[in-house]
Amino acid sequence: MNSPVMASAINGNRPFTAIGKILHEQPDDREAASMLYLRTLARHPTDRELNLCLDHVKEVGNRNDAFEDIFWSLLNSTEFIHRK
Amino acid sequence: MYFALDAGGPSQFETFSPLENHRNNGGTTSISTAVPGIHFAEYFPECARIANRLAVIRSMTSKEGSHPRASYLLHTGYLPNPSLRHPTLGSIVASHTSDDASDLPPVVRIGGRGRSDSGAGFLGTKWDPFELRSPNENPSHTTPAVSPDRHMRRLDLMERLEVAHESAAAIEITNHRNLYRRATRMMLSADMKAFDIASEPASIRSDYGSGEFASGCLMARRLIEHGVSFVEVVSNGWDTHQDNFSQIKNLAGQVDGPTAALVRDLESRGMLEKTLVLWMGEFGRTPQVNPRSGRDHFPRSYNVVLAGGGIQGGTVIGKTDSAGIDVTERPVTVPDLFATVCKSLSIDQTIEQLAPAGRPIKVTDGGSPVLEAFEG
Repeated sequence: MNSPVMASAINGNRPFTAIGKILHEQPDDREAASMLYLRTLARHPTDRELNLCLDHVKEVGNRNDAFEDIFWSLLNSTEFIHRK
Repeated sequence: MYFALDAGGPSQFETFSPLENHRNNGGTTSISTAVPGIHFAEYFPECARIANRLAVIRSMTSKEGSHPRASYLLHTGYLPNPSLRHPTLGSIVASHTSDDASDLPPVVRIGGRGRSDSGAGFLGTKWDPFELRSPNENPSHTTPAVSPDRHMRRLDLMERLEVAHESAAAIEITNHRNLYRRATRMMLSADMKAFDIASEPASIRSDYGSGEFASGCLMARRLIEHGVSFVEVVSNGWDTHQDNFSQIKNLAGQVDGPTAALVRDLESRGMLEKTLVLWMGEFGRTPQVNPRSGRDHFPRSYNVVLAGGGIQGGTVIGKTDSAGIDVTERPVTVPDLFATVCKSLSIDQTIEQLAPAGRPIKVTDGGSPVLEAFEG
């Protein structure tokens, strides 16, 4: 939730983090969100989930911050913790 | 409620039940206390000074002499059972007495080793102890990595995404969400200062003394003041199979002063009447000293100490024979002890809590409170 290791791993401004790479290589928000889902939950987002993500990006107004939030949410989700 | 666990099984003879005029005392002498006629072992001079606040039960008895089973029994009041996990005392107490008004967790365990056998069991994650390895450092990872606003934004997003998913009704999601909300409430709370023992006045700090256990006792008082229902402070190393006497001298030196300081401090703040203090281990130790100057496991007769919470100080309950082997007067079982705790805290010990599959489990596994331990 708060660990410094986690915080630096989800930093979108760094080219060597998973999210930094995705944001750099994938200018399309829809595709970027899908790739984050694949990386963390090994599945594509549902339409509802994708729309929530896109709404969040719009609402926050800062692409990098918004995607960091999404990445954090997925990594802290029950699905990520419990899925085997 | 404050609870000190001397893990490993502290020797009754070198603590609060010294043997007088018997070779099984192994050379430990007894000292007089504030109460004429009550003697403690020489290693507990500070507790001896406040013996008029303490009730010592010298006739505890159980059958469990292995650490895991005895620790489970003394934590939960039940014998281990492969089909369910009983809640630990702290979780039981908190689930009946916590009003949810505090931002801090209802149960805090300081200095434990994360034993898996003493969590909230079937009561659920809400009542699990918050574990703090050392009282001399702040709880780890309690500062948000981002601003509080942004943290809340992330939390909201996570919940919206989880609700959007088809498995949203799963109990794991509900528990997970409550836990994250609870953790967030805690770390953004002004009450986090309760963990900061360095802010205590120097005079109070010196009353408690130094060392992990002393810091744990001081933190316990601060946590209770801030609405935590139950604090457990663990002192490890009491499994004295060899060099019992030199080891106890050292261990008692860490525990004696802080325990007495805590009772005095609670009293001077008017908190002792409402706060039950319980000191115990998982069993006692053999009356006969072994060839390595040690004492081995002995659940047949041992002791616990109570104070505050309506307990009558200056009391000794039960006794053993002069060799310290068998209880000869007023045996007290672990369920009796749990019933005593319930009486002190006004918890109805017969309430049934539902374990998985709707199986009703009473708060205590039978037992009757030790009425003589209470103020008349």
